[in-house]
Amino acid sequence: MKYGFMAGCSLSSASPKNVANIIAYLKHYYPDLAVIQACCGKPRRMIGQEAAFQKQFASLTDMVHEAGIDELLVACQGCLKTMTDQNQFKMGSLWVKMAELGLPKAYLNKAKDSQVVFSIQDSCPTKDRTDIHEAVRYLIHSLGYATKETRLSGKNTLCCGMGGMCGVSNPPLAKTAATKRVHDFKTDYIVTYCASCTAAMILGGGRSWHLLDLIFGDVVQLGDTCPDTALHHPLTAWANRYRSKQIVAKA
Amino acid sequence: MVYSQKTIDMAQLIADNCTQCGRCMKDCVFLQQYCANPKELFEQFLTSGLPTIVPYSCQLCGHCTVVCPLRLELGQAFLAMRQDLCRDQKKLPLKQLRSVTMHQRLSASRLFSSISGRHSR
Ligand code: SF4
Ligand code: SF4
Repeated sequence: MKYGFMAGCSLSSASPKNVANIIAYLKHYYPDLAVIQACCGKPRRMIGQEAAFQKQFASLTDMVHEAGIDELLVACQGCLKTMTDQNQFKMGSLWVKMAELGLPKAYLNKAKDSQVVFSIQDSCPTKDRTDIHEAVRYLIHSLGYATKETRLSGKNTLCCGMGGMCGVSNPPLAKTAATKRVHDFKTDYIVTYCASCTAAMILGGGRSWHLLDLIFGDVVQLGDTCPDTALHHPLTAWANRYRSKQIVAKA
Repeated sequence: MVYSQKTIDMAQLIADNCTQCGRCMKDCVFLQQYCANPKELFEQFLTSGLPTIVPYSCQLCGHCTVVCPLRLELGQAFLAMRQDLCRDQKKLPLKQLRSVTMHQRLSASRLFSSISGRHSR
């Protein structure tokens, strides 16, 4: 079985470091891992350009086949949902795979002394994927963090505000949605597993981390504020994306 | 704008069946901003049309379908409207969408794409 990995546009633009961390983690288990940096084309589909989307997705499918990948592991739920709907190759959620493989020993329970209780922003494209919801909670708990659920989580999750390209077509409404989302949570600390969701939660006034920041980064302590996100700075985001591409090319 | 029969049928289904129970309205800031209830919104679409910004403001998240007793697919109807609005390939329905198409062109370029670890055959 040859595995492949794809981070997706938002994670590549937000954190080349985490792209490198994931590749190293997966290579430990799958030394012949193939890595792809590409876009699934979902934004085109969302704005209504279905033909242009199909063209972009076909080029991604070619890349997956060219790399000889049997199963593509994906970090982005938007990509995952799009690939599931298209059904052109076998794909899996990175989070489910990580829960299956387990975290490196050094990370287990590293946050057991932290008083932070995380709320979880579940990604809306995979609201019907209970396996992903469970895997994400398992990983957060393995790190030693406590979590608190709300009425609007799992299959009842709400969009972070950026869905359907609302962040581009109607930024004030996207901000209202993000702010509502932040207020829905019962704790001030929010973990997401989508880089766009993290950026949205910060836009909405929340303190938010990506799950990979919790896994590979410092332990978050009560009182800590979250780092800024590159996704709010277009030039940094594109520079990051280029760095991610270089990391992928050398992987 | 002449909408496709598919879009009109989807809108009609919602206009005819929505009971205005308000379940979908509770947490959707988009619906809260643009309508009193989906029945009225889709009736308005069918009679006088909607401003372009309306279908483009739905987050296509599907939460309404999860909570709707009739599982009405509001997001799918807005997406169908968008596809109709994009039929004229030369002109984008909203000027701010230009950043999406530019973003997509860059995303697809070689500058930002790569494969490593191919099977050596
Ligand atoms: S799909 Fe659109 S209408 Fe339905 S809950 Fe999401 S934003 Fe609201
Ligand atoms: S939940 Fe369904 S029936 Fe109730 S108001 Fe919304 S669309 Fe209409």
